[in-house]
Amino acid sequence: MISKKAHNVAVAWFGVIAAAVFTISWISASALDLAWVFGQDMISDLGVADGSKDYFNYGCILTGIFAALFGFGNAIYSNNKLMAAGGIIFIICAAFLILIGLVPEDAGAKHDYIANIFVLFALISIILMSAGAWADGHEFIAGITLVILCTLIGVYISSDLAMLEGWAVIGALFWIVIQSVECMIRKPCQKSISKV
Amino acid sequence: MNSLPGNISAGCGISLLGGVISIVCLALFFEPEELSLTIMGLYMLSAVLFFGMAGTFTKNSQWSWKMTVFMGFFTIGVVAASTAAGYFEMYAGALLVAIGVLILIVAMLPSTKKWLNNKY
Repeated sequence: MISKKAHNVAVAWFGVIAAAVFTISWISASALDLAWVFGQDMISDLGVADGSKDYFNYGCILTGIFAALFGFGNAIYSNNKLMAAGGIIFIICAAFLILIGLVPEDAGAKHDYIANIFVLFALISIILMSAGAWADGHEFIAGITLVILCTLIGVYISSDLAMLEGWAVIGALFWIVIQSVECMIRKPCQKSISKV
Repeated sequence: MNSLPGNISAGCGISLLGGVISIVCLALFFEPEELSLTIMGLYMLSAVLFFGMAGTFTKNSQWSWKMTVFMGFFTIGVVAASTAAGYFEMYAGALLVAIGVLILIVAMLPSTKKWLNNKY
C-alpha cells in the first residue's frame, strides 16, 4: 500500500494540460506556416514546413506524454472495466501520438500507418471511456461524446478528409476536457484506490 | 389526481413542438430533386425521434430515465449530423438542437429522473 487517497483530480489535470499543449502548438505552428489552411491541408503538413515543424512535432510529443499520464490515471482510478480498458487503450493511443511527432509526414507510408493506427485507438478508447462514464452514472459526459461522434459523421459525409481531420481533432480536444471533468467528479471505489 | 407533474408535461410539450417543427421543415424545404429523398428522410427521422421523446413524457411511457437521456442525446446527434452534412438548413438545425437541449434539461431534472424510474 502506498496511498489510500484518490488522486483522480490531480490525474484529470493531465488531460486538460494535454489539450492545452496541443492547442497552443497547433495555433503556433499554423501561425508560422502561412500556407497552411484549415480544412484544405492535413494537420500533419504542419510537421514538415520549415517554420512550424518544431512547434508541431514537439507539441505532439508533449501532448502524447500528458495524454499517456491521463490514460494511466483513468485506468487506475476506474470504477468499471470499460473505463479501465479505455484508459489502457488511451495510453497506446498516446504512444502513437508521440510517434507522430517523431515520424513526420515526410516519412511517407510510415507516418500514414502510425496516424491511422492512432485514430483507430483514439476512437476505441473514446467509445470505451464514454461507455464507462455512462455506466458510472455520468450520462451527460457520455452523451456529449455521442453528439460529437454523430456530428463528425455528418462532417465526413459533406467534406473531404482534411476538413474531417480538423474537426475531429477539435472534437477530440473538447472530449479530453470533458473527460477530465468526468475524472474530477468521479468517486473512485476503495478497490481501485488500494491498487495504487 | 391523475394529472402529470409540470416538468413531465413540459417535456412532452417541448418534444411535440420539436416533432411538429421537423414536419414543418420537411414541407418548407422540400425541393423536387434527386437529393430530396435523403433530406425528407432525415427530417422524418428527426420528427419520429422527437415524437418518441414526447411519448416517454406520458403516463405509460416506454423508456427508463437512462434510455430517455440516451435518446435525447441521440436526437441532438442526428440533427447535428444532418446539419453538419448540409442536409438541414442551418437555422432549422440550430432550432431543433435548441429544442433537443431543452428536452435534455427537463430530462436531467431530479424530479423527472425520479418519476421516470418509478413509473411502473
